[in-house]
Amino acid sequence: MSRRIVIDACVARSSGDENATATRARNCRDVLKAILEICHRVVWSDAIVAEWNAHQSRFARRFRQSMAARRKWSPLVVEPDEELRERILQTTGGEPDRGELEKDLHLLEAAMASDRVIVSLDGTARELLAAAAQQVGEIGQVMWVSPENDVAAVIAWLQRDAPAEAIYMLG
Amino acid sequence: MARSGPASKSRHGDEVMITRVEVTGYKSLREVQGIEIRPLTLLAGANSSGKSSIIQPLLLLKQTLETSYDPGVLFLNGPNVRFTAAEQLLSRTGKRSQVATFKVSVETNGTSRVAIQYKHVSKEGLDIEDMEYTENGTLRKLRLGMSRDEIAPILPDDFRNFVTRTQQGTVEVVRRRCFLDVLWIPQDRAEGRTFTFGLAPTARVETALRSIVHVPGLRGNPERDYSVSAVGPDFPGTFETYVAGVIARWQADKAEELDGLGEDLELLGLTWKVSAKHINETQVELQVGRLSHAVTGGAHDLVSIADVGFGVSQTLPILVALRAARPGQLIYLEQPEIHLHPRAQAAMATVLANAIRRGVRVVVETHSSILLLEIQALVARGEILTPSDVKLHWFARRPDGATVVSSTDLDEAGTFGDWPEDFGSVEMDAQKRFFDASEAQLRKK
Repeated sequence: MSRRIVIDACVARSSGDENATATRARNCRDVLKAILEICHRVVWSDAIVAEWNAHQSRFARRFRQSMAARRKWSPLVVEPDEELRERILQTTGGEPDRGELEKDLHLLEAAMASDRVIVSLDGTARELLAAAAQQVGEIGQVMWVSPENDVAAVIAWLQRDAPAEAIYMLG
Repeated sequence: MARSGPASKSRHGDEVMITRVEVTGYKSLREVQGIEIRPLTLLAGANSSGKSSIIQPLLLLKQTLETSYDPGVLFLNGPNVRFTAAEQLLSRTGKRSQVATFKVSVETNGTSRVAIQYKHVSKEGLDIEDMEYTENGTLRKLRLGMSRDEIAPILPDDFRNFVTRTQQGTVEVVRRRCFLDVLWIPQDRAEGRTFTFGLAPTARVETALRSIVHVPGLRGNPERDYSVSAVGPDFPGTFETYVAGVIARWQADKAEELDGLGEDLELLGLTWKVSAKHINETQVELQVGRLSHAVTGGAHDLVSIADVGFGVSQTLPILVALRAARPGQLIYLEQPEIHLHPRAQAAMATVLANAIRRGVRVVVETHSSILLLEIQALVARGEILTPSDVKLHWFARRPDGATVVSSTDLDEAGTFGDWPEDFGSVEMDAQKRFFDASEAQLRKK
């Protein structure tokens, strides 16, 4: 079954970034390649694609071209949910965390408007959102998957049609 | 010899256009495989996957029709396609076995179809097994040796009435080069009266086949001088031999096509001007602008085409063919990207699209991911090409060697959905291998 997946621009950047560690870059490439070869789709909002445009590596550009050519690079119209945003932001301890969370809420909103899967390297945002999920129950079902953590397991999970698994869920 | 049936030559507006081709039993096309022909038809796939093989039967028919003598059923060793024995073109089914027949079906203008099956006769070569054709939507079938009673029902009313009324003659199925025809032959032919008439069910498809412009992948070396040839409207053989003659004619006529050719060359970044300088009555030298773009006083800054890079001499036949073809005429381009820088490959998409807008139909066999991507971009922009202008066919071979064709359309966004493989993912794999290996080396340091 094809899943609609949100991919953070940090994965696009790191897939061919000279400054990324070799392992991190290779893992990002492996996950992108798996998403292309398995029949998953990538969904993007205007905010997400703007970040891709600013940060994508040559490898990610080619990934995007192939996904688009295969009609697996799909636009998503996402209206910011101000009420949900505020409830999430109220769970943070201070201004730094609030800023950290704010910059990634568009990913969360896109995931909630699609199949609740985000691929991202941002461990800090994941921790903050996992904490927020204790109080904001509806975001707990969102799966935040990092290519850095056991990439073989991530690819195997993608091949199994990315089912809901507690290990990846925020809540 | 007088003939009934459609006019043998059509002009702009009623051009006979090939709209679909199906081939069975030819080289790797062992099972029936077909392609729809749109204004811009792209054939892609790995080397030896069967891209050329789907068009080669048309070229075999073309070169058979174009010889100055009757070469038999098929002219195997001609300018467009070269075989020395019929066995070479028949599909192999095993190490020492091959099919006994091959079949080619040609649809014209989306309505008429001619399908002819050739059989291999041991030690004799090829013969015609049978031929099907549609007439006003009805399928008819001819084979050599049909009796008068078998032939009569398939004849048009006026022909059948004549044959029925006139007993002093015979009606029979005869071979005319690569096709079959029905001829009425008077009994007194032996007395020197040669009047006959026939059905000519393949007249339309013959017109379409003869009008194919073939620009092969090997387009010759640049020369110091070229022979002047006759110029169109059809171009027997392969097109590169006509290039100098066409340019010389345009120059003599002060034709706008010559300006258009200069624009195309400049768009590709190759040169901006091409000129034919007469050496004598039969030979011209092709000269091109030394610089890639026009400058003041540059009109006389020309050099021989033999003194510039291969890109110009290899691309010129393509550009001249695209400008010389009349609306509706089909051009078969083999690998237009050869010898072109990636930037020029991208620009080639616009040149092709402009030709499509002029009404020319083009079948392109290509390995260029950049060309395909630019065509996708042109469709997505919706300025020159629309999705209905383009058809993509991907050729792949099964483990047993047989070719399978997958066809798809572009949508308004220029995307084509699931193809067996796309160039982008091949390039992505290459990039991944490079990045993985390169970064591993850097880590060692």
